[in-house]
Amino acid sequence: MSDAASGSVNGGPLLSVRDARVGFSTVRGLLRAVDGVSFDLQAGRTLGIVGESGSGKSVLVRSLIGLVGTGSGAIVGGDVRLDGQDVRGLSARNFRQLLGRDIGIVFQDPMTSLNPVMKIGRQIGEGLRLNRGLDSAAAARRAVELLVEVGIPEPERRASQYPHELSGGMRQRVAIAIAIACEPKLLIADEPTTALDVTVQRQILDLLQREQRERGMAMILITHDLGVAAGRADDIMVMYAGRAVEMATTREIFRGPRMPYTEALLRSLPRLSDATHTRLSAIPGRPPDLARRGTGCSFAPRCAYRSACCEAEEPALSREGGRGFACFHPLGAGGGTSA
Amino acid sequence: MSASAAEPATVARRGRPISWALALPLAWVALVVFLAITADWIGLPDPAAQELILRRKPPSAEYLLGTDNLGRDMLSRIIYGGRTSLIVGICAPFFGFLIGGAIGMSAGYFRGKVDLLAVGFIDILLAFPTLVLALTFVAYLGQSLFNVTLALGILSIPAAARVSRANTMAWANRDFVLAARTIGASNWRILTREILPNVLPAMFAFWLVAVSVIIVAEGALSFLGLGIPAPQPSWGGMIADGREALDVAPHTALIPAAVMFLTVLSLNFLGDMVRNLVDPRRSTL
Repeated sequence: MSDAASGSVNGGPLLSVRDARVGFSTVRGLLRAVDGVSFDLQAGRTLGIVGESGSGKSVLVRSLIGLVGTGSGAIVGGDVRLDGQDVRGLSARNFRQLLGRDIGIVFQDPMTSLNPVMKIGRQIGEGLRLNRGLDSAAAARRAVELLVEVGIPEPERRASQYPHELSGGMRQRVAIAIAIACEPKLLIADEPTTALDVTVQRQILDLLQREQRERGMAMILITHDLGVAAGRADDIMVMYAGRAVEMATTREIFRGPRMPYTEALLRSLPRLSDATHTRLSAIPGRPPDLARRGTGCSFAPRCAYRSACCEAEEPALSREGGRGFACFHPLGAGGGTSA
Repeated sequence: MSASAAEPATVARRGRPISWALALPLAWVALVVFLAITADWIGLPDPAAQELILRRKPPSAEYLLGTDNLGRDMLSRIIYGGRTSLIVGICAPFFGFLIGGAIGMSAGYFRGKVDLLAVGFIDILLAFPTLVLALTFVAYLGQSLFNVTLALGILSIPAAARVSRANTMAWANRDFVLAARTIGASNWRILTREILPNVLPAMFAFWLVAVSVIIVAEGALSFLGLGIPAPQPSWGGMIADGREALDVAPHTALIPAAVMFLTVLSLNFLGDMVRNLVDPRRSTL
């Protein structure tokens, strides 16, 4: 059921981002962590944002919801619309309301995303009391229901415990319960499984997907692992050095990437069809220094297909059908080019 | 079933045998506090009543801790002096921590210009020689319990601000604070509900140490003659009085000095103990 359950007004995308930019002024100059990223997210769909560490995927999404601190000297630009409403133009109070009601977020590390001195049940009920006006008894009851929903046994007892009494996987379930408590339209999962055991990762991803489908939420799944995004995301945006370098449906990406970086990422994934002891290919070199960006394609120094023009000019994100890619030498015309 | 599973962990944490390093300081501080509170009702002689014939008597059955230069009962004066020291020692850092804590938490949370201003203010306060500042303050405003407390309270602002600022900075970047913001919590709510409860344990541990520092500072002020005004006993004042007769009646200076020493030492022990308990490295797990 991938239909948009909670359709947005005027039929436009739920979340629309145009030319998002985040810069940090450092002693070495302006560091462009996010450099002009645009995308749309329809209600009820899941967008996977994939990229290696430092590619700007977390900063991008955090900047959308005002979590990139102004105190840290960040310069945030671009146009963000949620349900057609200009998010950046809201007053502080209205923005808080919007965050509380319409957006939920699950962080990477459940060790730090829960308040160590507040009981679980209370943490879950906090948003309900703030945004839904529930009294503490009602919020506490709802918190227990939410604990049941995210699959925590003995919810009543757990609700009166502190975070340190729970395992990592359970804490992440609690974090999910907090994120979905106010029935948000958009759920952001920022590397939700990176800090967890492999055995728990799948359960958490399944839980996120189930909640997303049942509630018809849109979801942004940030991950450095294409494998995580594979079965969960409808669309994938690949980020490199603060830019979106490829955007397509998950199927298209896996059937035939157009951007060499995406191809390189795919080739670094193990495949069941590979012979045993096949070496995984690593991407040579290192990501560029974001404070000293050259003129050309930022992936060029590591790219096997680079030519003179790659180093002279930055390729724009070109559109072809429903997908986009930023490359002068796109791989194959849709066919399998996993050379 | 899982209640019993949780039990061994609890026992392991709490079941440590009470060490003497904890029990003795705790008992001493409890005794001092108890006597200071009940001083009026336990039949002590008037701490200001002079009996000049019986001056500088060594400890005896009648005068358990002897008498001072003016023939006043030392035990009574120690206990009433303890009341003074505790009032100043508890209230001054409390006042300082209230203001310093607010400054430090705002600075650590908002950063930017607020931080710059706060740190500047703290550095200015720190740049003054502390005791000279307190002396000036008391000399100018006049000697009274309130003024001494106020002066010493102001002196404890910078330290409190620094501790709370550092702690707030450590907590303010945790994801749960971001998470609180995404559920629509205001800055005030985040500061008071999310960060304050986490900063408080460290502040309390530091406050215990501050109490002992202030008791010593009050003693120094009294010793210099700018502490609590004369008839009212205080430990520092008693040491100052006893100094005159150090050769003939050493107990008049040594007993208050020993009592102050034990109290300060105990408070420091307790402060360290609490600090270990709230060590951030352990509290995160």
